[in-house]
Amino acid sequence: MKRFFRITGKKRGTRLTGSPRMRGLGEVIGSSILALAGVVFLLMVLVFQWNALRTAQSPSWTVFALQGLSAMAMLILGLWGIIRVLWNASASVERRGALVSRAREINPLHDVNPVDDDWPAVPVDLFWHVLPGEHLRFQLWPKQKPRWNLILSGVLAMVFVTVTSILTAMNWDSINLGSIDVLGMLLNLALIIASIWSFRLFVRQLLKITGIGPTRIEISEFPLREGETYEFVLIQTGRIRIRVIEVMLNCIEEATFRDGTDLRTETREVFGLRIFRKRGFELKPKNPLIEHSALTLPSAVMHSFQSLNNKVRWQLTVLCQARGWPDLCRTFPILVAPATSKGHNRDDER
Amino acid sequence: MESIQCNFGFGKRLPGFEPASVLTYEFQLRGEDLKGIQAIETSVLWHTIGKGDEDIGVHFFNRYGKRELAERDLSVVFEFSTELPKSPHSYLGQIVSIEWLVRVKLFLNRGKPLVFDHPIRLGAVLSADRLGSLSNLDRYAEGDVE
Repeated sequence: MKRFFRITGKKRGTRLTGSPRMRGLGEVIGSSILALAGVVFLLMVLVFQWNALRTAQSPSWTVFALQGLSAMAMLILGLWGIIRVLWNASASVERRGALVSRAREINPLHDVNPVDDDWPAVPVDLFWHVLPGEHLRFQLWPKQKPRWNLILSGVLAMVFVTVTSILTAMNWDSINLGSIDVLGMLLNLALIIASIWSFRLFVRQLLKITGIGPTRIEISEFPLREGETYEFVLIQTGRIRIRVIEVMLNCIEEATFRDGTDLRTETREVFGLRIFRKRGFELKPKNPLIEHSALTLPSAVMHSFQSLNNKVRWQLTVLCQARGWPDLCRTFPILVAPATSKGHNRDDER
Repeated sequence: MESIQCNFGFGKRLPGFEPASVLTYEFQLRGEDLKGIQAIETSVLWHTIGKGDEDIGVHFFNRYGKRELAERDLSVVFEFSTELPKSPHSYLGQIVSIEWLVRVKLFLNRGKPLVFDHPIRLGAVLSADRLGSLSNLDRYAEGDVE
């Protein structure tokens, strides 16, 4: 059934109801008003400044610069909006995509980066995240996770300790003056317990990061290719008795999507291969764990892929468990190169 | 206008193409009202399917505008050839999939453009489900040191 013409629209995920033409028209009108307002505002600013100079007043150049920049920003935003709508309306998605692809081909670093061998949609920038290794050719760079748990627990502990200290001092004064506030004392007691709890939480988070020493992984080749076997070295430092340490090869899909006005990211592990495990041993500062092992990438696996909203990531994950310590999980992104043609592989085997 | 058909033809047997190989394809338009076509765009592209917002990458693009179309018979076969890139490969994942298409888009003198898609496969990688069956996280692993 044909729907009635609608002027107003509604967001349904990434889709918008209503007429796209009306939406474009509305956007052009809005952008035109903004651009026009920018022009008028800019002219006004210039005229006022010129008048001030003409009448020999002392004009404020800071105010003039701020007003001028605001007017210019309005003008540029308005013009950008108009051009964007006109460009979207005049060219198809494929035509715009072709222009974007052609623009991406202009790569001044092509001769510098040896793995940037015309692999569209492959995150070749991972090559910049490897370092020269000590035991093998390359050292992988660990993925840095934001330390929100540590920051939040630290702030929480600081707030509780400060409030508790102030309240304790006030109660101490009251006791010295001979008056006892029972309610205040009970609140003080509760705050002391909360302070101890939050401080313990902070110390636990701190130990989680610093207690077990740094983990290093070195690998014989980079990037990795499907069906090939590589040597790797796991180096784990620290002063702790390890219950179990494992290295896993993982493939993870990651999809980002708009849900209403929210931007959400969902990840799914589609492959996990345990390539090394060692149980029950003692780590000492002068005697770190240095284990050589090998990993074989299965044949015909999907290569690393990255576009604006979708990813296929490969990584090595080190999982470490020690008695009385929180589990430690450190990840090392790796680059799996796209397979070349079968003819090329046969040539390599000869 | 809906009576226009587009028949695709490929220089080799489908479905798979090796990375960096040459893709030769042709298409022929059939219908009564081919004169109503204002422009023809043909492209070879990949796009993502799945939970994430759609991404698109155009590898090859060609457009016949009104002027070029006036000079030729639209019922004659259109033939194109392009060297395919080395990536991304076609992939059937769990929440991220990649599909390659040969697309023909007809812009008519009225109404929405007509789009004809023909999927092709670039490379031959395992699907996420088949890759997942190679996992060993629930088994005793080779390389365990007790």
